Amino acid sequence: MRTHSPEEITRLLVAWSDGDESALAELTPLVYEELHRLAHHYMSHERDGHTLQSTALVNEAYVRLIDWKNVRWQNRAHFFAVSAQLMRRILVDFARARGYQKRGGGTHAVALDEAALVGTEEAADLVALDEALGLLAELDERQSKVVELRFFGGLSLDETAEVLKVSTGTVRRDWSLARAWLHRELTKKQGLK
Amino acid sequence: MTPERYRMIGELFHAALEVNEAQRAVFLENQCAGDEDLLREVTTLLASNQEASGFIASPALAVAAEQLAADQVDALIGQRIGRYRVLSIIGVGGMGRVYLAEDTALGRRAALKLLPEYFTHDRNQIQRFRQEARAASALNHPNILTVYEVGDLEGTEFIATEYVEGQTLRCRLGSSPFNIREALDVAAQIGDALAAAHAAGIIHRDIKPENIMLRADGYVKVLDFGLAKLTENISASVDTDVATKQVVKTSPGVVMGTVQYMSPEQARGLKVDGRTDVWSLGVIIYEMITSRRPFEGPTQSDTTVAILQREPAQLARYIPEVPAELERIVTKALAKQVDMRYQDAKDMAIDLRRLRHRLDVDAEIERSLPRSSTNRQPSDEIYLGPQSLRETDAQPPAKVSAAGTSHTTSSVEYIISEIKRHQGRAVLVGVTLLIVLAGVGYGLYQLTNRQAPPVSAFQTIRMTRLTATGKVYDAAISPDGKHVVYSEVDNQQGSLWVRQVATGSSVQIIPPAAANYAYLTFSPGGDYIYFVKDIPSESSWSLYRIPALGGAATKVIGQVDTAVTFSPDGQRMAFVRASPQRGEYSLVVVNVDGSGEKILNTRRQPEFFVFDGIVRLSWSHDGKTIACPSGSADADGLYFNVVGVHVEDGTTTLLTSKRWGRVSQVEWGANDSDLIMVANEEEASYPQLWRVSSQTGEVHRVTNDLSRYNDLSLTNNASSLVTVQSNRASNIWVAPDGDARRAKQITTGTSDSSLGLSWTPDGKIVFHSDASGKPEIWIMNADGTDRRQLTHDGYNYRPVVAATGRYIVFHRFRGGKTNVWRMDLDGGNQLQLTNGKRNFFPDISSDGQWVVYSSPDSGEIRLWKVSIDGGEPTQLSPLNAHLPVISPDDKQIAASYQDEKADPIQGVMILPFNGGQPTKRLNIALDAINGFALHWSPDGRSLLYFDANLSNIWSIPIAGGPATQLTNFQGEPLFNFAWSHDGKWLALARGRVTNDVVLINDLK
Repeated sequence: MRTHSPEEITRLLVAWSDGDESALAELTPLVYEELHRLAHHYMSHERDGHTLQSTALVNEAYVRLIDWKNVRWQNRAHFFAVSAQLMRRILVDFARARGYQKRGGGTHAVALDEAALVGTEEAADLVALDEALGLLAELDERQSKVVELRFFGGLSLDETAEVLKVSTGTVRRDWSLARAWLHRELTKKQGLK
Repeated sequence: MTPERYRMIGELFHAALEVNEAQRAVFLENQCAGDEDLLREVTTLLASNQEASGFIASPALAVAAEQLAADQVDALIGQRIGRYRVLSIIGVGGMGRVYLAEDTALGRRAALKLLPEYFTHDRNQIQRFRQEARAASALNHPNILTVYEVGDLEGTEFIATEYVEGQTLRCRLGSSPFNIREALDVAAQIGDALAAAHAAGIIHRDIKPENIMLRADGYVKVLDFGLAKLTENISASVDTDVATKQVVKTSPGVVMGTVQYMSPEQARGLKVDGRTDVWSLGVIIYEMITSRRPFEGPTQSDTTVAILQREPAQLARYIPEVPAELERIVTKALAKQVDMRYQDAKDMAIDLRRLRHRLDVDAEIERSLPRSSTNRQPSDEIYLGPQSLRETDAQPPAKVSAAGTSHTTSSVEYIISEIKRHQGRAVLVGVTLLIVLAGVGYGLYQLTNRQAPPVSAFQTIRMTRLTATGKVYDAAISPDGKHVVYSEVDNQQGSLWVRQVATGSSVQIIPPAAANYAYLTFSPGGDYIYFVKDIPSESSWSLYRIPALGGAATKVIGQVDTAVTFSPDGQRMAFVRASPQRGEYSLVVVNVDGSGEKILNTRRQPEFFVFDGIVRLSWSHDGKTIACPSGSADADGLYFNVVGVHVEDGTTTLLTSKRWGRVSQVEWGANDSDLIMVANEEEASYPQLWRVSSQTGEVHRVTNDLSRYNDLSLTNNASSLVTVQSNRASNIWVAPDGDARRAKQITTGTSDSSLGLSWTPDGKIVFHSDASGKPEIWIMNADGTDRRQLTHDGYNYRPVVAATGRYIVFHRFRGGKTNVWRMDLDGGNQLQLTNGKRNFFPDISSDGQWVVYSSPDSGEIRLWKVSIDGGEPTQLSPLNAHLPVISPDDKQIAASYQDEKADPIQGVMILPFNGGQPTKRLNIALDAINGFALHWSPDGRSLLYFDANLSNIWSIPIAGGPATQLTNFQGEPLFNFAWSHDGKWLALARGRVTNDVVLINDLK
């Protein structure tokens, strides 16, 4: 896989945000690459409990994908918003594809312990969240953006506030209500109390 | 919902979060001002907010990456790990990944759980984990996920368990509400699982909906016994963030969900025992019923405080129709003081199941309100309920089948049943029951005249009656003495019950059905009840197993002819399998699941293992010897003893030295040095309880009364036993013209005439009575006056008076043999008419010249005829037949028969007085003519007999036509009847037989 400079990624993001779907095809492998890198980490290190390291790795991945520090971008806020959208799109697609694959593979969804289900149901979490987020956008667009930026885009409260041009307190309030609402929606949907 | 509405909800949501939690509810109610929808929206969002702290906490990229990691775990699929081939992944959670795998060695599917290293990097912890898991793997209970194996596979700790398809209770709770009965059903099964585990010394510690699987077929499985300790241990050492993430990853909202189900002592970090699981089950029931958890707070600390201090709201607050009993059960389970809680999950399960049953019954009653009682069994049902036993003299309901026997079968019966067994199911009913008479007797009188047997500590026994229905058939006590299982028979419907000894509450674990449950035995752990189901349609008896607190019965093995006895390690069991036609009686040992069958010893005629009636053998506590009731025959007839079969090599030792009249049940005492048994001292005496030293042969009497004891089951420590005590009350009534309304009771004895009743030509009544302590023949006037005893020798039954009035014929058991006798009406001039081993049930011709009777002495039971003055008897019919009664004109004989080739195969045949082939066969159910209750009508045109319920006399015309009911009695069942020779008076024996479970304590 050829490496992509931050500039290139930025260019692709802009292209995508302007409606160029082929840019998505180029960006997706980049995200997948980060996913695999992280997954490998979880596979080999999750038992160590090095969560600080894990958190750092996730941040690194985001940074690699959306190197906002080095990006020369007129509209920083717009850039964040686009990249969060992109992550949402790619990750939800990933989850959806994975869900199909699971179903196609005929895996039996059987819970054996407190673990909820791997496979269809869990993969559906991102998909279901995406759908619920769509509903939330109809009720309160900003709240859905807050979730998109924070959860999919990996932004902090402050960064989110910056993008949305509101106070951090507002983001916090939006986040807490949106999270409660989404959680309720998903719980209803998954039959999980 | 509109954005405006959402904004309103949001504002209130935030405002409420600003308010102190205690005032929040009031605040919200004020703010919503009656807008219920708004109130609900905000309340549920607030609740969701509390649960959502971990929700979407990690960025999506991390979530997706973890999913990908899990996918890559799938790479294991198709791989072999040890002897397991991984088929698919079925779950990932805090406790590791779970795969569906095939055990290639055993060819079965298994769930393979691979534990994450961070749970097991501490060697001591691994050790503890393995210990726990191995202990759990010893649990064998249908409601506990079976652990197949625990170990180390190529460096990874694993547990291989039973593979279960279904959903977790957690999922189920979210999808649709439970109705109360469903919830009780699930809860009772969880209770069963806990009871079994606790009995094995294993505490779950983490009972919660995530650990409960619900199978589609209604079975509940509790998972991860023994594993909770592991998580407890590691919780301190694992970064909480990991744990949180695990939870987030798996089930949003169930953040560290265990806290809500923790008992107060657990929350305090104190030592816990089984009662902590009882608490958790209480929480689960609460949640199933109300969809709420009884203890909850915004943080774990708040929840903990609630658990320690707060009383939950009553169930009825949320579900008004909740039964008060359920409220009580939950309150008791959630008692903060462990001492106030259910002390035993078993007791809780019993309460739950009993309530469930009660609700079923209520529902049934509701459904069937307009219905009348039309569910009577057809009279030809091949089954013999308690009431249909008359002449067996207070036997409990007889087991009627191919074996065709009853509890206290005599040796006479034994021979017959040997001959007939397995020839056809119902065929023997009448025959054997009749023959029982010859042997059942009253040894007590004689005993009192003999030197008293040594008196042991048993004289101080305490006897408690556990049931009062009088309809018990068989009973057994659990090894720990806490529970008693018993079967009842009512109106030909058998049912199975478990009774808690301490509280006296009984729960029905098998509802009434047209089957009978015999050979009840608790498994060594007390978790299961083994029993044999006597179903009319089945030709051989099979052993079944059912969870002690109810559930599905599963067949274990076929052809089981005694109760089973378990090896001390609980791995194997033994029983007798009889093949009387081949003359072989085998002691069979199998694994508890019915596999690995092995014949330990086979006895061949004339030796045998006792197998008819309720028979119990006993595996010694040292595991070496199985004590078996046995018998043999020699020139002096049949005798019984107890044989010890050595488990190691199948050789035998005689454990008793006395010739017993019958040994039915035997159990080893606590230290294998003596045997407790139910035995008839003589063939004709009542079965009583005895203790026999297996070393010295010394015999001690445990019971010494007029009751009959028909079963025996000891606790593990041999301190208590249960038995079925049988008592009979019977009195003579006289009814002019058979008119029930004018019937008059003329005796008040305890057991009059059930074994014989006849009129003299001048209107006196000759009858059997045990008023003197054993069966004798008596005479009295038809008003009960001038009562006199006519016989004083042996055991005397079945008096019949000739129409000419000169003689009484009867049969007498004496010196181990039964023969037909005659005597004058005053008891004088006694003459023995036959000289064989078993000649009985005489009838006399109207002219007084001939006596016909039955005898199995020639091998098959046949009819014989002998002169009233004795001499050489002649055989009347080559066919097997029994209970001959001569027509009033002395031209025909009616006799019960069974013949596979005849049509019907059983009933009553009519044959010429001088013998030969039958001229007619009548379809009369044999259980309806048992005892002496088959007679000719005075006009000789009909045969008279009882209906199956023993409530009235019926008449069937010899010439053909339907049977009609002749009398109209109500109330107590009839045992016997006789019309006066002029046809004007009906004498009846009426009364009742009660069979109840009694508990004997203080056995030392």
